[in-house]
Amino acid sequence: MLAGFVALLKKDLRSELRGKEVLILHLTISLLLAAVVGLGIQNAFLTRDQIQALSPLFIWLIFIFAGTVSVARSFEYESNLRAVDGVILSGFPPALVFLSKCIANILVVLVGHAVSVVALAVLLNLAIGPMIWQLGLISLLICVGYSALATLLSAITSASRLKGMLMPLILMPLLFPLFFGAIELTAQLFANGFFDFASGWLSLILVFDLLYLVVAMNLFEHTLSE
Amino acid sequence: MQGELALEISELNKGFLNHPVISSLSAKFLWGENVLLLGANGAGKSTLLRMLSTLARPDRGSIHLAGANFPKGAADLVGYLGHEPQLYAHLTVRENLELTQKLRGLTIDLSAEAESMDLGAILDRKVSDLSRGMRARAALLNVTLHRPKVLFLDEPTASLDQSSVKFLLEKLALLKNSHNGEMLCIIATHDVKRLEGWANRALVLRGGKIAFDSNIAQTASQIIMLYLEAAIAC
Repeated sequence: MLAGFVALLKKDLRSELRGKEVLILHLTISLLLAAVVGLGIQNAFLTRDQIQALSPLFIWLIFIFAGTVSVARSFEYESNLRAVDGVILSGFPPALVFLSKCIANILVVLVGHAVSVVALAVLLNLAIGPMIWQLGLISLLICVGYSALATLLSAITSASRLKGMLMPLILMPLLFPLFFGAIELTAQLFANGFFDFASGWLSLILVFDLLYLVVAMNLFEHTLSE
Repeated sequence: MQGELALEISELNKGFLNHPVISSLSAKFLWGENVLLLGANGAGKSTLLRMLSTLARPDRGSIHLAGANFPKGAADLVGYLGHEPQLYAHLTVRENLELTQKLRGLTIDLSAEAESMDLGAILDRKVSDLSRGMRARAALLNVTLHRPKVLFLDEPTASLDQSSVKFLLEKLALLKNSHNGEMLCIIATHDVKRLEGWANRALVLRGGKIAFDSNIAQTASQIIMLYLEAAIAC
């Protein structure tokens, strides 16, 4: 079972590294949005404190827009040539097939997110160095829940000709709890240099991560069969 | 045992968006049978094969495979190849085969298997770089890696030239021999002429029902005539 899971993970990472469809799209949109925000805000005559207060919103807005457009394509590696049929027919547990795909998406989204945060920090002159580990932890937690949901929805919408429209329409409302939690914790971090580990927002993110992961793992099987 | 019941379908129904594709279909298949599944486009051939391979769920009805309730044990017994090769385009042929090997927990020599299908030279080429014929060959190896006793092929000759069709039939014969003749193979096709001599049973679907079923060996022209008669009669 472990050898099969490792083989699946290798397949997902190889497909992405060679195809680069999700990663390049994510990076490009992230950098473009970061540039628009960074250059736009310089003309808004805001103080440094105001820019710092607004930056969590910018960080997570860019994350959601870039992620929604790019991760929607992640299931195309599976549907192209109906490759996923071979995996289903092998009788390997669909929950593990999902988990492998989800981990690959987490890594891709994390890389894209890291690049956009660095770009935004440079453009908005934010000092993120001292808080990098805590910001990294928030980002990891958000990426887990986000990727779980986005991977499931990309599988559900992959067969629809309206997938470009369906994905954001379904995904974004479901992301609200994670999105609000991420903004609140990042705002705490930027204001104080740390966030409170006993914060209700952190618990909320953890609960939704777990919920999305468990629900998606269980529903994935049903999205594969006709 | 050859001649004994391999697969039994009872009152199978499947529809999409309230449009019935398979309607109350019942049939029995024996070990050793080579079956041609015929019918016009939309007759339900692909849907039937996808249900028999576990890729689609019947709305109603039952399937018994090798005496067990479907889909128990189906992953080990069944091989299915649809219209597409079911391979990852960005991976090489070797990487695709290794993936199948690991997922199914097989211990086989992939290079030897590839050589047996004349794929040795393209093992390290990406699937996206292969011709249709080579993809079809790699796909056939991929779905037969676990030596399935029941094989469903959906229009396997569609993109093949005459020599490739001959090669395909030789490989099917070898696979059947490896099971001492105890193998069931069902091929959905429009290409009756080129599969002449291979089948010992022809089954014609029309409107999701069996319009004609013959378990005697027929020549291609006889099968085509019966197929046309059944189509006109319905």
